Amino acid sequence: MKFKFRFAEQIVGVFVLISLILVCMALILIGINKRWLREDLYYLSSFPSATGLRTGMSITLRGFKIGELQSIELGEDNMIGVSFVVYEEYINRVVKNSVIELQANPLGLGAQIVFYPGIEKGNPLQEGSFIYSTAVPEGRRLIKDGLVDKDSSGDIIVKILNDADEMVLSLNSLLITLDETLLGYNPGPVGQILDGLGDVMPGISGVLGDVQNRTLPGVEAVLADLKKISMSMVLLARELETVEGLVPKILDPEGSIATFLNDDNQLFNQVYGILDELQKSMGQVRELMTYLNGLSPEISSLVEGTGATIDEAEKVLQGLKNNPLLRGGIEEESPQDSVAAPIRDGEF
Amino acid sequence: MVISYVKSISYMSGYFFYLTRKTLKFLLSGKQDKKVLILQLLFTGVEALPIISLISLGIGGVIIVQGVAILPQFGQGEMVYDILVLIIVRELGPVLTALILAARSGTAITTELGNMIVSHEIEAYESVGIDPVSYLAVPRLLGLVASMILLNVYFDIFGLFGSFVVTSMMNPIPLKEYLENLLQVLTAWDLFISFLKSFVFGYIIAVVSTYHGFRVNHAITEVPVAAIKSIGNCFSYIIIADAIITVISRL
Repeated sequence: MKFKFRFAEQIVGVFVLISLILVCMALILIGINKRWLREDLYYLSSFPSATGLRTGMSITLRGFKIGELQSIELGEDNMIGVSFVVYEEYINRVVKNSVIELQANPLGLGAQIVFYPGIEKGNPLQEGSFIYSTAVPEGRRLIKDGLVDKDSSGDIIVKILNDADEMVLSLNSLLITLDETLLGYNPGPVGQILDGLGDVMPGISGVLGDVQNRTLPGVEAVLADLKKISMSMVLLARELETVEGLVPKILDPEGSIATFLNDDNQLFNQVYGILDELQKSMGQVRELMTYLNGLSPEISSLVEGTGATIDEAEKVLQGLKNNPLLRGGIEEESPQDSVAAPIRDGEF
Repeated sequence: MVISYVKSISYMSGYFFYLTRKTLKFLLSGKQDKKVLILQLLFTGVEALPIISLISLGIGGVIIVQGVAILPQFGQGEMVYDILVLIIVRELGPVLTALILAARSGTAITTELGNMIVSHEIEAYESVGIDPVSYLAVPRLLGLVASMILLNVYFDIFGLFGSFVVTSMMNPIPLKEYLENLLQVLTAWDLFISFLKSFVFGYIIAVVSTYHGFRVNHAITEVPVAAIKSIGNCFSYIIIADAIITVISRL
């Protein structure tokens, strides 16, 4: 008989036995690891949001695991009620004014609940006691009052994240207030100012219309003048580009001004004489104009008489033209062109 | 075709309940024939251990290699232990063991029973008042279910051990630390689901393979056809049952 058939019962027995031993060992190890036979104490707490919370997550004290989260449920007051256990060997850390804090990585790289014991040393809290979380005002007040042994040498990144979290909360509050103010829900002075601003806006619109219709054309003219002035300034600036400016030209011994000043008043006298002659001519022109003004009525009547004479002469000529006896008796004159071409007929 | 399919399903259901009743009667009566059961455990369990061990060692090593290569890129290096437990203990352990047993032992059972019918051995049992289901099918069912559960345990152990061996080659880590990390994520619920799947899959393999074995009529050419149908049905039912159990366990 083959070996395996002869000792089939023994082989199968060993096969089964080893398997059972392995299963029992696994169960024992799991039981030890999961603390099936340990008397852990449970406590209660609450958070405003369940984000980042999950059952089984660790409760740590200075990075050391001292318990774990047991259950999460939504309470009647819309707060998230949680229960967690603290291992029995760490029960003496759970004293009055202890708080817990949820530290969740915003990148989704895990989360944990950190336990901060109270400063007062005394008897541990009874099982089922309520421990505030830092997510509620009471918990934050305990830390602010210095009643909590909060580790200040923790992870710098976690502290930065906590600061950033507070900053975001403040910013959110500010934005909400600003939003309410802009919507007119805020009764404060800024809200009143904004209300008044709303009333003023139509008047400002009318003023802007007037400015557009009336003032802007004048401004355009002013701008044109300014443009001319700026062009003059450009020319002046071009003259002043040299370091010496106009002074060398003025002081040039061969220049007009120097000559004008250093010719023993010859040029000055000539200019003065010309101006004197001009003044005299202007006086004569003035007298002529006065005389012409005095003759204007006579000239007017003379012109009128001349007009009447021309009319009579035209009638006489018309009669002579119509007289059959005298027809063809007058020699026609040939037109004589002017030797000098009129200025207006010239081509420019 | 539909009518024949429905008739087949109803016939298999009747056979399932009949076999279950006979199995319970076998277990509760004090007159069990342990020899057949032990031989079935020997053929189905002990002789399948080498191939199961080899496959589980390889699977465990592959999972840890892939996990160590990919997961740290997402900052989730610690999740390699979760994946080990999830894949080896809860999924691949029961399913791969069941597929190996269905291919190896299920077809053997179908072929054996089919040949016994063709050679009129079943008629001989009936002629002397022995119920062939009680005498032939029940010990095979118990042997398959027990072998399935035990082999699943070995698959898990060797799979996790294989991952430790590969981890030690890539990045040496103390066995104690490895076990601690593993036990952090391994729960009794995982073991229960694994054993439940093993039990259900073993039951499926036993019922389907004995059913198709007894379905052979007279010709020897029916035996391989029955074996093919047996293994095909086993694979289908195992996958369906795995999906159902997984979904229910996650509810």
